[in-house]
Amino acid sequence: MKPEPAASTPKTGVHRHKTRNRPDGFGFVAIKQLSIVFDTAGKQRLLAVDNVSIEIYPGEFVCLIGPSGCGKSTVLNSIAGFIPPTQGTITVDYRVIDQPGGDRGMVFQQPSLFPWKTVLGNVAHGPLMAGKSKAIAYRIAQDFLEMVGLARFAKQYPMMLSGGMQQRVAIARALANSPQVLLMDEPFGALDAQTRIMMQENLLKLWEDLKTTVVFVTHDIDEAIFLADRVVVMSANPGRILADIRISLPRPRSIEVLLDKEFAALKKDCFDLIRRESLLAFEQQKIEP
Amino acid sequence: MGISKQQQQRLNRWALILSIPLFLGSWEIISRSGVVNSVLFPPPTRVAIALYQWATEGSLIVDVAMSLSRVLVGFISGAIAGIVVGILTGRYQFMANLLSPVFQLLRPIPPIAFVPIVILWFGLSELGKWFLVFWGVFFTVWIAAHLGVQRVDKTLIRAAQCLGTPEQRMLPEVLLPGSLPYIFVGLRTSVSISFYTLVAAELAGTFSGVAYRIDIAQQNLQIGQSLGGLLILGLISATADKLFGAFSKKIVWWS
Repeated sequence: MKPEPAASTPKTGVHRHKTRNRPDGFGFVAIKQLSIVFDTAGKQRLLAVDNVSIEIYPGEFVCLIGPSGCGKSTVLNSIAGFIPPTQGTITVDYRVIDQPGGDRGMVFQQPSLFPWKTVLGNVAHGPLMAGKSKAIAYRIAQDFLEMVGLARFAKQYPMMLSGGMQQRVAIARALANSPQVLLMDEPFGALDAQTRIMMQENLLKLWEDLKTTVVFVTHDIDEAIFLADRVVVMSANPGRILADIRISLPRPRSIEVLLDKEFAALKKDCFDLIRRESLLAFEQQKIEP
Repeated sequence: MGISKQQQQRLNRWALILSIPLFLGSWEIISRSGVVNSVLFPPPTRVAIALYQWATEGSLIVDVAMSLSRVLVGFISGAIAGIVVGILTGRYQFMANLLSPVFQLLRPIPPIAFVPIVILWFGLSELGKWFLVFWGVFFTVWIAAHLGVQRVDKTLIRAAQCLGTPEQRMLPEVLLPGSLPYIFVGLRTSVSISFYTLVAAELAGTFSGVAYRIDIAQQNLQIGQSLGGLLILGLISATADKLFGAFSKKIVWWS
């Protein structure tokens, strides 16, 4: 049962970023038999991603986890359009992805804000590029800064902000562009534990308001289960899908869910899967010259 | 035993205050002591008098203005050309393949080596002076802009792509501001280079200018004026460098 996108374009809606539950039905990501091969320096061909198929439905929050080198970031970069598939296809709302575009917002591990633009200027960049007038772009940017709780820092420059605040600006910047999908590549990996939890809660609140489809890459099992509707576990060398685990913990979730019994059980499942894989990868590295 | 921290700090401050007076004082004493020929090595007081005469009875203002105009025209044209071409070669492989080998071949040629050819091509006209300064500035700025564009943070470019930045907006929105810190390093180096080249350009033959006047005064054995000219050149060059440093801090304040 694939939901069909609505006939009207999402851009025409007034205050589209304020709608709930994505009634437009946009944000359907279909990865079909994706394989990605890298040519390494020694003419060796490295199979980074092997025959991965995932369907991510509009408004869904999916986490990709796995040991380092399992190709989870490669899959994400391929959805973003940075890495072309060697085999297979990726479509977003039935359009084949062959280059990066504004329909897929991305948040990187580093905030990657434009240091020469103000916080407001950074967030307004997407709407401006989409052809919106300055007044409208800045109003949208102000709205999103409010949503991440940084409205009063609008006039400041990124380097005056802490790492966590910069990353919130980066999230606001990606969302202000009303993307069909929000791609997040270990966005909280560089933050300290306290800030990370705050960021996770903030992100969930945003997502519950906007219902944008989210594909979130992490190696933190707690983070994945806390955030996701589905946790897709990947194996290393080559990157394959090991398991696709539905997380039916009730929403809205607060961080106390980490102490829940069901959470512990889910965590154990994921942990065992990843541990077995990590050990396997470790053994492989010992054998290979 | 030793001196206290406070005393040390006071000594350090006096060292700074006395640096230039001590230098001028020793120069004065050595010149007047008879150890050296004071005609060839005049004391600072005589240099000051020569400078004063140059300013009041001579053409100091015109000389400085002419020298500055040569530096400005050569620097600005070299900088603009260097930035434009550097961005093109840094961004487009085709342009890099087409131009880089030629530039790498021409870049190491010292501008001074061009003086005989320049006289042949441009005579004693201003165009020749501009050309020499341009030559000195262009390659330095070109390579700075070329490398600058290539060193723009890849994630910033990706972030811009994910925000729907069209290719033709990439240059003004990301590549130019992203490479500006590198370009300004090149530009600042070029400020000094343009003064070096100016000297070569004016020695090649002209009718006014600070370096020209240094040469003429030397031929007339007016060594006071020659040394004064050197001081003027140093002062202008240092001021230009400081001013440009402040300017670049203002423009690329984030780097």
